[in-house]
Amino acid sequence: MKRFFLTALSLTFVASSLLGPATATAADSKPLVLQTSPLPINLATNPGTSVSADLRVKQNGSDTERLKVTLMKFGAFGDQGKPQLLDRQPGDDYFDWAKFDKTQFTAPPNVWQTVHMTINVPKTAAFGYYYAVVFSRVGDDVRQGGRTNAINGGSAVLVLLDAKSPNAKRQLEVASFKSEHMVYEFLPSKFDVNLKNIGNVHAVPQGDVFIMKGNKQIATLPINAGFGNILPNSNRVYPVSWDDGFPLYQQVVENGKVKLDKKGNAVMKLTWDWSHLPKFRMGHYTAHLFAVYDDGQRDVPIEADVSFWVIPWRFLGVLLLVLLVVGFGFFSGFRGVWRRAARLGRRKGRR
Amino acid sequence: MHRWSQRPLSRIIVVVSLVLSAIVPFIPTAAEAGFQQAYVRLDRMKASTATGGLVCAQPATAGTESKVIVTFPTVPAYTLNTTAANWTVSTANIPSAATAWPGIGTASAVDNSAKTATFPSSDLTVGTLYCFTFSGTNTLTTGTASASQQASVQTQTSGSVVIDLTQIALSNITDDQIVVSATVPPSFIFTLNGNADTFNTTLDPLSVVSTAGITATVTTNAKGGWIAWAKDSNQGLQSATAGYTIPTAGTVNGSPNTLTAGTEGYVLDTDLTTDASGGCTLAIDGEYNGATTAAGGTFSGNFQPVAACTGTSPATANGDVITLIERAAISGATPASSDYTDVITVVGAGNF
Repeated sequence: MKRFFLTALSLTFVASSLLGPATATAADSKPLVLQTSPLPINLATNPGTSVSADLRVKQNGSDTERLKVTLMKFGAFGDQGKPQLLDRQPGDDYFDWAKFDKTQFTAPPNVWQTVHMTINVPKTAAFGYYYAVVFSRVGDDVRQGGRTNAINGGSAVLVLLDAKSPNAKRQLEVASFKSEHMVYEFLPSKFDVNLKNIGNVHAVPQGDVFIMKGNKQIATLPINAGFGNILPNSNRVYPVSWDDGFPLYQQVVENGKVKLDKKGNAVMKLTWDWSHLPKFRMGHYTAHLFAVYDDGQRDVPIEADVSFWVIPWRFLGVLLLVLLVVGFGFFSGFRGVWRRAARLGRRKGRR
Repeated sequence: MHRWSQRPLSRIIVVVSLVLSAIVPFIPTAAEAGFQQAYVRLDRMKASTATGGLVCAQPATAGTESKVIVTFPTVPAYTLNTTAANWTVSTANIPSAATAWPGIGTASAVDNSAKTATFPSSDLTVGTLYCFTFSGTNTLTTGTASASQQASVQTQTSGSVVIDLTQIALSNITDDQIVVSATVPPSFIFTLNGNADTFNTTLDPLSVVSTAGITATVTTNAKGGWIAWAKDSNQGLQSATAGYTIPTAGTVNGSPNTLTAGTEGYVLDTDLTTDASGGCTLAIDGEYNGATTAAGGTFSGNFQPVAACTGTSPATANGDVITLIERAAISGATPASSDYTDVITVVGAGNF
């Protein structure tokens, strides 16, 4: 009996070791806090020369970490110009041009580490090259134990290299300029400026969207104030919002966070700042896009228009209702007076 | 004949005269009594600089004040603009313990030779601290740098009889301001709250099982917003022991897939946890924006955008949070093993 009991206990132990417990226990999970600077780096040089940049990284964890540098590339794809991160692919010889003074290093907590990146640009180089330098923790890409996934986090610094060439072509065009709605009840009115780079090197557009009512300019809304780039053969959408109106839909913010509905959309609230009463908007408006980009010789303008309406229909509905009620009141009153006068007239006539 | 000095009366008179002559200069007359306290605090101490100032005084002597006269230093010489109308006053920004100077108004007279500015005043109460400020626009210019300068504040009756008068000290220095400069570098902070994400329970053919989730937090002053990508090492949950992979479900097509209990599948769901106010607007990529606890996007061997924060520049982020959750379903025939696992790489960057 005792032997049977021990055998059963041993089998139970082996089975539990192989199959694991019914409910999983969390593996030792270590946070990762990476701070990188600067943000996208724009480099330009002549072919046959070198160019370099200092990339800074700091890990803000509680322990000293071992960090590594991985070179990738980035791009943009689709009509909306979604940013794309890519590993090295066949033919990406330009990865070999980039060298780092260290590819792995020890990073104590809260101490900036500088990684020197040098790009030896060959004479055959031309146009744009787009590197993503990714910092991550050594060992995070190793498989974890049972039923636990390894999460390998990284922070990337994007480097845009312009290998100057007389054949460089910087050319942008308007892919689309759209208003989110044709009719708005109240502001904000939102627009997407979708520009396409049909050249062979990145370009930076800058300009404004002018809100016009007839020939009168109502507002000036800057686009790309942050000098964002458009990569060759790709689009980029610059959102523009006209929110100088009364009343105004605004995001509901609680404790510094945008309040979200169940679908993850921002909850909007109509705000009535009576000091902005003169900014009551109603009627037909035109948004006129005027932007320029540098093609290497001069500033080239790009223009587009889109029209939209602001019709505060609920407000107008209430106003109409009030007018109808008042009008009906006047009508009833006058009708009563008229009838009484007519009756009196008839009585006098009879007399 | 007695010498005059031998006469007692004469001696007394001489002694008294000598004593009085020594004492009298130090005895204040009733009309020149000092304030209980008085001070002038100029807005700028820098030499040869236009300034306004604060004048405070606490009367010590009963009297009917009609004016207050501030005398500025003559050595080094301050320069007083003699356009009295420029010497406007206010009682708005005076010390909390002080009372607004009653009847104070724009200067009635300014004399650059005597270095005096005369302001109207109402009757003051003994023991109350009164203050007012005078404008620094086209009024007073300090003298050259000097550590010890004499000025005074006095109140007078309408008949110009001094009620209270107190000498005060002023000083000028070569520079009275500190230039503070600082640099805010462009910065991107990417935080994962862990590097291991465990399924809540063992995988079960009767249900879709999810991991606890890993949060990714982004704080950046990048003007163009930020992006996060994810890629998968196996496009599935892989068991080395069983030599089997539970494959990811669907294809990357911009829409999430919904797993069904009993049918093998493995997806990545990304939840918008916090869209920090101000700056950019956070949005989850359509592929990974699962609406239920069984939905998520297809794992890819290439980096796929999972979330992006965009908006009108400056599209910064002050603590945006997304949560990455893996979801898996198995069939009754899925080989048993306790080492189904995966490696997911998540990278964040400030937009270009």
